[in-house]
Amino acid sequence: MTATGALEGRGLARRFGGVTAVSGVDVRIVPGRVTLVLGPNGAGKSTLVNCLTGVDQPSEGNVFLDGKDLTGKTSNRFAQLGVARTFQHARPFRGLTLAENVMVGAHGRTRAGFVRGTLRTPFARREEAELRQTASLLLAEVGLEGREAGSPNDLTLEEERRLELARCLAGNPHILLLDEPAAGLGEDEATALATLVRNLCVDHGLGVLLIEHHLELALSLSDSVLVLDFGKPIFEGTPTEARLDPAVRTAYIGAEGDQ
Amino acid sequence: MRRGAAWSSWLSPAVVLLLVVAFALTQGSFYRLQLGTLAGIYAIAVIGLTLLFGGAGQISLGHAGILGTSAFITANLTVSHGWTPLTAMVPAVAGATLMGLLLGWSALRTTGHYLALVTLAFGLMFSEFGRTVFSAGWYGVPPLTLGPLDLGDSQRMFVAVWAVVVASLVAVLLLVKSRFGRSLAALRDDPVAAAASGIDLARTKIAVFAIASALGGVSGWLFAMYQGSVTETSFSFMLSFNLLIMAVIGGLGSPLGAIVGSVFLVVVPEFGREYEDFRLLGYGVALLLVLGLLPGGIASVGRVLADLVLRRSGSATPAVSGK
Repeated sequence: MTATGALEGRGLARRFGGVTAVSGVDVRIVPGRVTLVLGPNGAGKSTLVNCLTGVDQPSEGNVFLDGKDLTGKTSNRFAQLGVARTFQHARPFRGLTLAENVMVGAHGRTRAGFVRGTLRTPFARREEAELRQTASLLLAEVGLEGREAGSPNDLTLEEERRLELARCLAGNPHILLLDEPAAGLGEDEATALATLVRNLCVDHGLGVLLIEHHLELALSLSDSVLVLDFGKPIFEGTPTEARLDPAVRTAYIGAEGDQ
Repeated sequence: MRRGAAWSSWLSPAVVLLLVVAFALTQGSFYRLQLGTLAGIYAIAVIGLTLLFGGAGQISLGHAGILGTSAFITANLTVSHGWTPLTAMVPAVAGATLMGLLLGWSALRTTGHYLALVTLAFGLMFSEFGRTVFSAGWYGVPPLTLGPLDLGDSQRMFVAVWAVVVASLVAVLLLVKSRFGRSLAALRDDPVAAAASGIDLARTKIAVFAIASALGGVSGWLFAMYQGSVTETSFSFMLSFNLLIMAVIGGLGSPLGAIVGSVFLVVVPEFGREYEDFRLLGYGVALLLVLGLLPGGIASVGRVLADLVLRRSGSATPAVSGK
């Protein structure tokens, strides 16, 4: 049921009224590889992620998963097919515990409906027990060990982001889109997060699209780089090429290097 | 810890059950039993509403139309077509659930205030429909019989209704703590993130409206037999409004609060019968007091008092020990 192939956007464009947020973008997220998307604020990075996950619909172009056209499908469909994403501003479910938040992430791959859930059939009990265990493991993996019964309202912004990552992983995705996961993190925490992402990618074969402003960290982590400026792709290549490309340097890296 | 959670979900139904049995055994008065039965009938519908409002963050201001659909079907089938009340339950609850599916479908296109207006319009349409098409009403709905058990007796009817209340309470408490219940909470807290987690928002919304309406259907079905007659005036907007107040006063999102709110709103006005004119004013004041002092509803009064005592004893320890 879960696909294993690449998530691909072809000729993606998204216009809001007269404003073009994204245009002419081709991107391919391949299992086992990290694709980095760079660009200054307002370059259309988040819009691109929205279009690639069904949260927003592209005005032009198509989205394929494993060669199958998913354009126009809603985001729950993408999640069910193994495409998970985080949000730039974390969106935890505030009325649920941390464990329950993570358990919601597994919604697409679990089956007990309201009848079986209410009647507590053996199937529902088994699924629920397995899910609780998974949630504890994932919380531990993102550094929220033993806080299953806690509330998202007691988390720092950065912890909320890690909770959201655990929620994503609960769905056993094979494609993961991370919208600025390290924003606001200290150097050590960002490095820990980078290690986690690298592990997921190498050990578990996830394909990752990463939006990140910790430039050196992100470049060292990624296999390919796409640079957007005013919604248009201005560079596509390897991290090494990106460091040397003059257009990229002036549009993005140069500004960073001046600091 | 999980064992503890399981315990607490059985505790409140057990307490309700005990109170009900005690009430049925000690209160022989027909009048009191009738009131208690009516409160129970409303409680079933309000339990559904707490799931809809508090559980899933949706709203229905036309729930009287749901109860009415079921009561009309029950009355029509039993009075005009000779069905037994028990067999009439199936189409009655199915009809109410179908109405709920339609409301849920409209919730796909509208949210917040707009959804409130759509459901309000549904409620008003229903009562107009009743007024024009079924203005004669139905009289002589037979009392419920379950095989050899005749529930025409007010004490038995009371117990039967409250058995359904407790069953609904248990079902909803279990449902909230299940995968489906979590998806409702996710829908309520953040629809975008819920969808990105794989939850089908459309299906979830329609399902929760259907469940709340099925409970409303059971309520309307019992109401028809309780009243013995069904007229268009029974399901006016005022009933939708009352059901909403019951849910809010009891504690939005708390199924136990639904029961507290229903009993409160049925029983308390009875003490003020002679001041009929001031009844609405009393409602308003009670509602404002609850919203202002107990945002968690009457069901939260224990917790609020405990907090108050703890805080007072914490800050005023020297004064107390000085006595």
